[in-house]
Amino acid sequence: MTDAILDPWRHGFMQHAFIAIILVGAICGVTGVFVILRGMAFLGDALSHAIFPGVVIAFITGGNFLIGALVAAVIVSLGIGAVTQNGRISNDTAIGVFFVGAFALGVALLSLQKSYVRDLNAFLLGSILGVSPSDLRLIAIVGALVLGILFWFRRELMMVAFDRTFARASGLNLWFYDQLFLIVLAFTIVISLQTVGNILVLAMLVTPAATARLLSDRMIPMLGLSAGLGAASGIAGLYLSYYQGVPSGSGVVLVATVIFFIAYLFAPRTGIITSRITYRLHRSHPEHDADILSAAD
Amino acid sequence: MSVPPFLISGSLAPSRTGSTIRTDHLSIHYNRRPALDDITLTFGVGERVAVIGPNGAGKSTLLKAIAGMLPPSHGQVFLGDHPLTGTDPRITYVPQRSGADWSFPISVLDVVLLGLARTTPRWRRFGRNERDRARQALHDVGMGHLAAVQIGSLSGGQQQRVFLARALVQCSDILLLDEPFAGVDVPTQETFLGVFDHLTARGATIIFATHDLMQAREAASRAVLLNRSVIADGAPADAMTPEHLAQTFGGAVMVFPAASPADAPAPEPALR
Repeated sequence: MTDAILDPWRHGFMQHAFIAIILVGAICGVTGVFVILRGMAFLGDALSHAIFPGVVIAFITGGNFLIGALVAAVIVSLGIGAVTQNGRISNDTAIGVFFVGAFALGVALLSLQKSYVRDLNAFLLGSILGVSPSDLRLIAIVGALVLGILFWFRRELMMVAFDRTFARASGLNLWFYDQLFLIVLAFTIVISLQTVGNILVLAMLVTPAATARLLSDRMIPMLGLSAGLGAASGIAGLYLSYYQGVPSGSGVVLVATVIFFIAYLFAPRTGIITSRITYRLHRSHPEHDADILSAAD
Repeated sequence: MSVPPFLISGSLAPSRTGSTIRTDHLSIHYNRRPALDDITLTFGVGERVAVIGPNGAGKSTLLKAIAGMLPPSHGQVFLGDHPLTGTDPRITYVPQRSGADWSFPISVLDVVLLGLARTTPRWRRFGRNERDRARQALHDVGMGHLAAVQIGSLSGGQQQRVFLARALVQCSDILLLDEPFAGVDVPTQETFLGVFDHLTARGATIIFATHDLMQAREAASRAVLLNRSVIADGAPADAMTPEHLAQTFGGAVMVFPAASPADAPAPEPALR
């Protein structure tokens, strides 16, 4: 058993992969809490596709793909803002237009390159076994920046998510905080691309945070839980990948999804099955309510 | 109603002596359509003003403009002698409840603490001092026992009280409330009236938007009837005449003359 656990760690590339997925899982978990509290899952998905042309252009020109991704993210978000300005096009419609358009542009640009198929595949599904020490350094630095920004502006971002009118009345510039969060989101997505890939990054942003929401009614515990669940899903998924041969990205996401459904069914108080059991016990023995409730906690 | 004892020594004192607030030929346009047209009003220290009008009359727009949240298309807002260029800590705007996400994972106390976010250094957590002020404000609106509760389990009236407590911790001179009485219970209304009494007695100015005429008569010392422009302005009894109300609400209101209960006709027997 211990051998089975330790075996993957004998390979250098697996050590890198583990460190990468732990970092990415935790960082996505933290950013993801803000994503789901703002109801921005669709924008997260859109952004992960919309930065595609930026990454491709950086790849073609040999530039820094982080900067390419950021430029694309900012252009797309400003574009969405401009298109929705006249009030005829709703926000999610504009997101839909931009995200598919940008993704198509990225595919077209990439197809002009010789090694098209291999690179597109790596981009879409990730290539975690190819993580190098310099990739790890990038993930750590950008991840620290993401966590630092989220911590520094935590109250403002919370106010904007909870009640925009109140945030505006408190003197916050909503446009600034929307753009800031978008950039944080773009950072998070970029450092996740290599580990879980473009298609599955949304799951790392949304699923651990959603599970944490089922388990907690407070923001701070939710952040810790979500980060922990993201990292744990990453580790378990990587083992699944190592022993069963499934692609690492899908292994990680499947584990996270299974954990979500377990929480959905069995979370204390709110779980579908747990709450039904509590209800049954209450009906048959109302005098034991106090015991039942404390057991459910 | 009389002031509840807990209000006597609470967090309810405005921090400074109040200032008048004045709109000077204020107009606001949304996409070139006028929402407010040439509004000139002066609100003095200690006034309790009801801004009355139908939906879409520009009540929220007026409050937001006074709060510095909307740039005027024409005209200006003055606080004392100084033109407002944006939001100001001396002015607190209490938004409608419907704009907030009530499923947000946050406790009642933490919502009130957000009212202090502007004045608390960002590198440190809210400390004993801030928590005590927030608890006091909750106590002042009769919500002290619910401080630790998750906001999702609150009733409409309780939600509105939390918003009021969040405004109270900011100790501002001017309190602007957008439909504070919409869908709240009687105890909450009474709490609000008690707090209004107390604040205005200490030199704060209160301006609230409402479309409820009864509520306006009861809670305000002055009524401004608004429908894009000011239709009438004065003591509630003087401003809220049938003609002015008809003009404000587009003739859609039935106005019953005030009558003593003895004069009221007996109700028609129900048809069987």
